[in-house]
Amino acid sequence: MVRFDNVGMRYGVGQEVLRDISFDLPRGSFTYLTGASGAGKSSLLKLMFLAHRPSRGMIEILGRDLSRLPRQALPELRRQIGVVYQDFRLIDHMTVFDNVALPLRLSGTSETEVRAHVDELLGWVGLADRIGTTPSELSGGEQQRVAIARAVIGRPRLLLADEPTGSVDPDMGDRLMHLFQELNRIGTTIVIATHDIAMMERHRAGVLRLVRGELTGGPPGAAGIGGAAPSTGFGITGFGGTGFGGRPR
Amino acid sequence: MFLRSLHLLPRGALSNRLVPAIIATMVLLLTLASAAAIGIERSLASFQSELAGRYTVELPTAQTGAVDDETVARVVDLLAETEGVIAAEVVPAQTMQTLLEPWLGRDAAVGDLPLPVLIDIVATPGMTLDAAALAERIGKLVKGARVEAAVESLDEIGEIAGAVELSAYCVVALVAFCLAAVVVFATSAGLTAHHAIIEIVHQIGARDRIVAREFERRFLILGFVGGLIGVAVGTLAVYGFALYAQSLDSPFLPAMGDFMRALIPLLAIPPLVAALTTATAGMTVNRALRRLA
Repeated sequence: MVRFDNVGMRYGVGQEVLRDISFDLPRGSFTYLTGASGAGKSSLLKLMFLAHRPSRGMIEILGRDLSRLPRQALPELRRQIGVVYQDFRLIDHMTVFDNVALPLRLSGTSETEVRAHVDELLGWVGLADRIGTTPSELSGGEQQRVAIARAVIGRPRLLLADEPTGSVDPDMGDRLMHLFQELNRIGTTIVIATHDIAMMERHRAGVLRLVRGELTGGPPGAAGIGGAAPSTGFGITGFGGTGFGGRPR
Repeated sequence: MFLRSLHLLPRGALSNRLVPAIIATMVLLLTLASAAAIGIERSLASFQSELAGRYTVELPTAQTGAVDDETVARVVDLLAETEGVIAAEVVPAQTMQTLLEPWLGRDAAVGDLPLPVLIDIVATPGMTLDAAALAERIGKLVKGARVEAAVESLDEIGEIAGAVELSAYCVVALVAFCLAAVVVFATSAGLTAHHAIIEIVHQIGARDRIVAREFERRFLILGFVGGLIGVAVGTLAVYGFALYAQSLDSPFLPAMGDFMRALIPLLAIPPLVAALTTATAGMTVNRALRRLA
């Protein structure tokens, strides 16, 4: 699903910020990526969400070898990857609804489906009453939930999240973690970069630990939560919803 | 699909007051240059049409002395009998004096000068006279007589007018190039200003053409609206100039109706400008996006 083999990465002509990174995350795994600030967590995520090319080594994402992937194939692959950025990266002039709907609209989903899915998901993340507002009118925690909703609306095969619960209260953090767990249960591979030890304790999963750009710990082939086999449905429970979507992947 | 917008760019992005104003101004220049080219072409055509079939017989007096009235009358008779000639008229001395006034002054004693006798000939429309043969026949009556087609004397004017017309079309091409350059700059500025948004939508999986379409759509509207404004203002300016030209009552200027009808193709400018701005914006965005990862 996600395989790194002896990967190095540098920005421009500077020193490598990641060195000799090798791991293999199977489909349906749930993995924490942890390490001190500046250890290279965000850089590693950038490689995984195809925002940066490695300076050496081989990366395989969703079964595609990135070194052999033509540029025109990137959008299709990116649509299968949901990303929650640490700084949210919401589009300021768009409403909450339009921000969350964007991945579906980019993939050509009909407006009827977009409306149904976005309304339902925003209800699950507790933002049903903020649909028409713009990100600048939201608190940090609300913006984070919008960012998460946007990342998961397209039911990605790989979800990457950079400190996804950093700006929300513990209760909402747990609700969002349950959302990730439900996604993981139906087959989405999840990687969460975090410092939050308490959360990692509450929601146990595999760990990749970075120290100064090098991978020092964590089991290759992290296990999926609950061991549930991937299913074709997309029923999310625990958020008061009755099921989400059902659109075939 | 082209008209369906995802509104990836903020409302008003790329269309602050300056960009539409620049496009409208460029289109105004484009319209004026095009109208000038068309006007010159029509004037030259009108000029040539006016003088087509006109010939001048010149009976020299410098070496042979004055040509008496009887000889002049015989030449006129000969011309009248010539096939293809529908009128032959001696240019009156008063007209000669008027023609020479700019060079010799109002009080010049024109009568003392050995001026040639000039006879204007009008040929049957569509018929060309053999000027050399005619001059030879007249030469038997008046030694050294010459016959000139009026259009031939306009060759240089025609060449100059042609060069001016070509220059006007070069200005049209130059303005079109500048218009494209303005769009390239505006698009590049838009890409820089909204780089964060473009990066996000790219990351979410937008294809280059989806991003390019957002820019193309904006420039389609800007180009068309700017084109309409530019053509409207330009046409008004040209109409005002045409009214002035009409007041000059020159036979060498095209008729007002003919000229305005000749300007009808200028109505194609707004869609052409819209196509130019759309294509330029699209190419600029695609080229810039190819440089992204």
